[in-house]
Amino acid sequence: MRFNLRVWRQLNQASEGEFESYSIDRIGADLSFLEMIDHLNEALIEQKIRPIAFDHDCREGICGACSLIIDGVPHGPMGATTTCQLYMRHFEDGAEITIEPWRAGPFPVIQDLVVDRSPFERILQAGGYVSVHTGEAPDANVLLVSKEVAERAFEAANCIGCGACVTACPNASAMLFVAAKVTHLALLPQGQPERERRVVKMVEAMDAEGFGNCSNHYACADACPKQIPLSLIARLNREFLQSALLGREFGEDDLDCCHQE
Amino acid sequence: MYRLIHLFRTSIGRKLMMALTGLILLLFIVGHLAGNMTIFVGAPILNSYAHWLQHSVMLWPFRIVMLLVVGLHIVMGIELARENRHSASNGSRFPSWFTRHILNHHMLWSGLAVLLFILFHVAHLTLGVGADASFYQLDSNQMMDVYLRVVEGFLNPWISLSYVVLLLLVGLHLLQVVRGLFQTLGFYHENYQQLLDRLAWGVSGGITAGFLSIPVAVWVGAV
Ligand code: HEM
Ligand code: SF4
Ligand code: FES
Repeated sequence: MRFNLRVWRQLNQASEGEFESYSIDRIGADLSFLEMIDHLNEALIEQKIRPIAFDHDCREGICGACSLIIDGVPHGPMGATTTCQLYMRHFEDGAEITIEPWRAGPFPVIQDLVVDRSPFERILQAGGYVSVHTGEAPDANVLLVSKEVAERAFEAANCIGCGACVTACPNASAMLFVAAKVTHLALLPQGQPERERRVVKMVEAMDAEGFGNCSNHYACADACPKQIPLSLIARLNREFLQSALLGREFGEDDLDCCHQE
Repeated sequence: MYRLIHLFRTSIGRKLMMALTGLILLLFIVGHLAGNMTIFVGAPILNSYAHWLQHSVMLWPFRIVMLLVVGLHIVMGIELARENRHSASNGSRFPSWFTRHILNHHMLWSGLAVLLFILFHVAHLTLGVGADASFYQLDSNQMMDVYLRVVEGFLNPWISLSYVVLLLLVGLHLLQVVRGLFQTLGFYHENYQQLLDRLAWGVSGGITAGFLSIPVAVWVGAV
């Protein structure tokens, strides 16, 4: 197959980027989208052109490293799949394909198609964890979780933290991502000790990173490769408002700081 | 108190404030619609309803509260829209200009249309901007003839046209708002999605149709 590619090239965060056009031929229909870029890069290296930088890791749809806005759609036109699981047979022979990095204020471009997604890491550090006893493995079935709850939690745990929801959102809101992480742990017994603190800390971290507010456009769920359900955003709102209005810990850190001074 | 200040510094807290002030406005317009429907019972009823409103001791306290609520809603709405524009600043050039500037900020634009509607509406029927002496005419019971104001107003094609166009935009804001309201307040569930969609259409359609029925009735001579 042959394709005409318009690829976003940008040397570093400070420089202005622009689209470059490349043609590529003799691409097998069963190559993945990333393999197609690998081929292009080999050709570029032979021509002594700087290869295109792009993020990838597992290439099996589970790590969340790959990104790319393909023809204006995060993770490409297939829906419910990651870019690494997108195959060239999904495109028409001879098609022009536009490839961009994630576009969102909090995700600056580092180079070409690679953006800085460390804001997500910092949101996770703020509360996306559980405190457990280390040491011996716990006995099986000490903590009972019903099958329905386990499945709901798993549905949320599916989020791979890719950031497609943010780039799809016209406000660059990270609500779907945070909702998935909060829900996953709020549903399970292991998540209970930090439940109130977690949602507050993660939302505050999300705000601090400069993500926008949810305006109910629902573009996030359409773009999500893991089909994280929209209803989780309402759950996040509920969890947060409950903790903020009724929880014991809301705002306490700041109070502590002021008493000590 | 500290808790609330802290809450309204967070993104979800601000959305809560939007939703609560919006809910109050929503209740207000439903009440306002119910009051206006007295026009179909007859001129004396509408006029005495208006008379009762104008002479209520609660008139100014009520107006002040509504002004505060609407002011908060607007200031917050603009603030949120500004923040959002800032977050999304390096947006893709891909979607069309219309999507990027109008559709993606539909709440703000339809909200500003609501504001325009309110200003126009108050100028038209409360303040009587540009109206002649008949605006202050009393009816046979010595009450302000509000009925006459309404009928004369809607016989003017320009006033009618502006009213109808702006009203439809108000309807759009309401349509977007009802489902979002439940989501913001933390209630959204697949099982109720269809119900909420219908509720959104029902509430916004009902309110719009109700307010639309008044000029239509004037045109066809039903009131
Ligand atoms: C009768 C008048 C109005 C009613 C009943 C109303 C109702 C509402 C409600 C209930 C919401 C919350 C939706 C949600 O939780 O997502 C909302 C949001 C909003 N309103 Fe209004 N509103 C009115 C007037 C206005 C005006 C005059 C503006 C002018 C700027 C405005 C701008 C907005 C904006 C920008 C939002 C969305 C905030 C966001 O989602 O990011 N509204 N409105
Ligand atoms: S919610 Fe979906 S789109 Fe967003 S980061 Fe998680 S997997 Fe990616
Ligand atoms: S490379 Fe791991 S999800 Fe695509």
